[in-house]
Amino acid sequence: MKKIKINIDKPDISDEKILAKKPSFQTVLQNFHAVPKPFYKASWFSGGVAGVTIATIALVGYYFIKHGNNSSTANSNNDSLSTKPFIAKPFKNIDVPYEVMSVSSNCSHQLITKTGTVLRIPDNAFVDSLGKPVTFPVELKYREFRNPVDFFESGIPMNYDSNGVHYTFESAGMIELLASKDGKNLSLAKDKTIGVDMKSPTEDSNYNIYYLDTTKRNWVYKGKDLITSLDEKQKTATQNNRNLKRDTASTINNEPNRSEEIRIEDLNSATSKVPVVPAKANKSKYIFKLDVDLSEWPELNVYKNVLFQVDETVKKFDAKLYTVKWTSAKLYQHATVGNYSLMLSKNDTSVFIPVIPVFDEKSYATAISVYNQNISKLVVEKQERDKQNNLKMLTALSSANALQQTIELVNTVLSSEMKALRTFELTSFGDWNCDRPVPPINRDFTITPRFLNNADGKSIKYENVYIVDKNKNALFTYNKSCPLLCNKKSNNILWIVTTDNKIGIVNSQTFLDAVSETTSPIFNLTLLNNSEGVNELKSLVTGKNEETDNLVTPTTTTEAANNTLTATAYPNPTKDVVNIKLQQENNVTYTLTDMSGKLILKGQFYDFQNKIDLSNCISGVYNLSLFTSDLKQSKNIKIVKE
Amino acid sequence: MYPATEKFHFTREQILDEEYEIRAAMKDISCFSPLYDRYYVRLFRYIYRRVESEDNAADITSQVFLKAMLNLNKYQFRGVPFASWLYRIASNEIAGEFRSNIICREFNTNTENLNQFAEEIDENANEMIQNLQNAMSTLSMGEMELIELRYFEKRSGQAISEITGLTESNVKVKLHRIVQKLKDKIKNVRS
Repeated sequence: MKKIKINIDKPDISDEKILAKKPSFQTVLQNFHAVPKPFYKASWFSGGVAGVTIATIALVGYYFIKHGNNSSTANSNNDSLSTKPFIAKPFKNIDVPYEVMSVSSNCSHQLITKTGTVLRIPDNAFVDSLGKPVTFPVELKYREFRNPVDFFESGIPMNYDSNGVHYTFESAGMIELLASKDGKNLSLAKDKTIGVDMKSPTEDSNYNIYYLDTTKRNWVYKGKDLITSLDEKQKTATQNNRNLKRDTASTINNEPNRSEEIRIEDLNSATSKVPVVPAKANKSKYIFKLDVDLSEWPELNVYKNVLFQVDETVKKFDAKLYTVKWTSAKLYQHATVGNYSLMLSKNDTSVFIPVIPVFDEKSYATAISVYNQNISKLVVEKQERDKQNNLKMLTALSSANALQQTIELVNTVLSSEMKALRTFELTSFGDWNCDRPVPPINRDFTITPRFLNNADGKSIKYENVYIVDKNKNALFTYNKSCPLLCNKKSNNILWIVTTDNKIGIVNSQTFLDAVSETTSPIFNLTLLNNSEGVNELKSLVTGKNEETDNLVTPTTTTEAANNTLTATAYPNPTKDVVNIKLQQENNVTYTLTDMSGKLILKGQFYDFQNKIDLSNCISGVYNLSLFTSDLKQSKNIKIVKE
Repeated sequence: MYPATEKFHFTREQILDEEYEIRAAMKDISCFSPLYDRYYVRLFRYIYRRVESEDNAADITSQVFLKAMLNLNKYQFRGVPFASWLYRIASNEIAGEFRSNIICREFNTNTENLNQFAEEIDENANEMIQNLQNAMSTLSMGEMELIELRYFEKRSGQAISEITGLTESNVKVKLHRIVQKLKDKIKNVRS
């Protein structure tokens, strides 16, 4: 017997006593942030978790350094990576290889990598950590990340936080360029940029350039790239030039929209916030005068004598509330600027009133002048920024000729799957990515899988689950404690890395089969050691081994078109025997269950005409399930026994 | 124990107000704070009526708010007060704690409510309070929960349906059957 008590007249507990036990909302918020979430939801980069994450990654990194394999070949790479614990590679012995190039003299260079990317390095480009120019030769390390397996191997986080929304990146090409001299990392000199012409499998223009800022722990938006379609490379020089100009022009046209977004972000960090446009108070409306510290709201803090007028467009205001003597008032702000709510409370009750900041006639004029001053400041800043943008565009145009030559050079190296050349400029060494964010909304099917080891049938211990959607060049990473989101209709490959550094892979066919049946599938995995696993992944993801792909698409279509079996049961309702007539299949398994799901009969039909004897069953409704031997077609029939 | 001011019913307008707040909190979780401030005491009392100690109640209340915040994006606006959603999370949380034997589940009522309930079952109410208590202790947890919501806390059928997720008519049918069951049991004891 469980412990149940029925109490009569239990003494009440006072409000004060309850409130004494109430943790502050800040504490709750801290707990909230400490709970592991799918990383696209986590506010790693801005929230309080950052500290926790740094500590965890540092520990993991320490573990790898201490206990990892002693691979001598990758030592130099690891040195440069171990300084960035933000990038957590899954395996120490596996990484995307670098191409090492040497720059021998202090003049401008044009380097072509093995993959056909062109790097235009200006003169006097390299400085050491103190900002002094270095002596030559300088060693350049370059690598590209083309597919999700590369992202996985490198451990570079492919997620992006923008205005509190979390995205995973879909990439049109990512590069890493590092410079070193005698084992010490070098930086790029101020006001120097390295031009990059990267080939890309897509000529879509809605990809942006991002730089991985390892100190801010987020990708930083750096602008648009210049796209040159490689199909046009055959065309005459004049045409090509025109195209380039058009591209640039369209990029410039696009710029204001985009720059506006950056501008708000930039302003928020630099000069706190854009002030709210002052509004005049309407005397016929309800107005609250609050004695609050506005330092929390910088967009209001520039003003004096701010009043709060009830915003009746959002919700009707009950005049009675105006007469109540409230004991406390609290101001909240909503996601959009200028949208505030006032919470008035008294004892246990509280009301929530949407308000807008307004000014009475006296202070309105001052407010307007304050606003104008602030705005003019912002305009100057904006003009400066525009100037810089234009300069960048001009350099891009002037490099058009150079680009022409480049196209010809690259032409020889290019493979047919590359459709466009993306030109952008690096302002520092590190990881640069040509990406667009994939919002999590498109991926709406939630699954909570379990993984069993084929060898011993036990469940596998793992940390992260990785999913690749073959229609997208993106890697989705989920923590083990979180449900996975995927696009059910797409071609998904899923894999896990076990705690003892092995890989278990679920190929797209198995995944599709499992997911079409249940949202909590159980996968039996054969674990591969990490290098085998990565090779297998490469062949699956990059599609070099096309067998699985070719199999998948046609079968799914036939399944969709014809997944019901043609079968009839008669007489129904029946007294004893029911005849089952099949049309096209003659090797069909059947199960007969009662309505509670208990199995009554199971067997196989070999003929077109079959009989089931129900005379021993009690009367009621039974469910007859028929399915073909390959389980692709099925039918359920309800049979009533009288 | 149950102050008359406690609101079990929400007007259409109040629900809309809340929707406005919840949408803000969905965008930015720090906007959850007004909801937290408003419902803490109410939720605490709801839980305190169901568990033995104040400390347990405080623990569970915190857990409920944490869960609500974590799953806020799953909250759907169906014209149902937000409180019901919190109560439902609380009920599940209490059930979970009870299952894992962490807490002792209490059903609290006052004499007045119990007497009213007894009258509903039998006219000679005063004699059979003890019998009624014995009979109730044989009920299942789910059945007791319904009795608690309906007769001990005097919630409307609609409110119960919002908290339990059952339809209103199903709640009525179930309650009717439970009352019938108790009547039978008490009759058996008497005979």
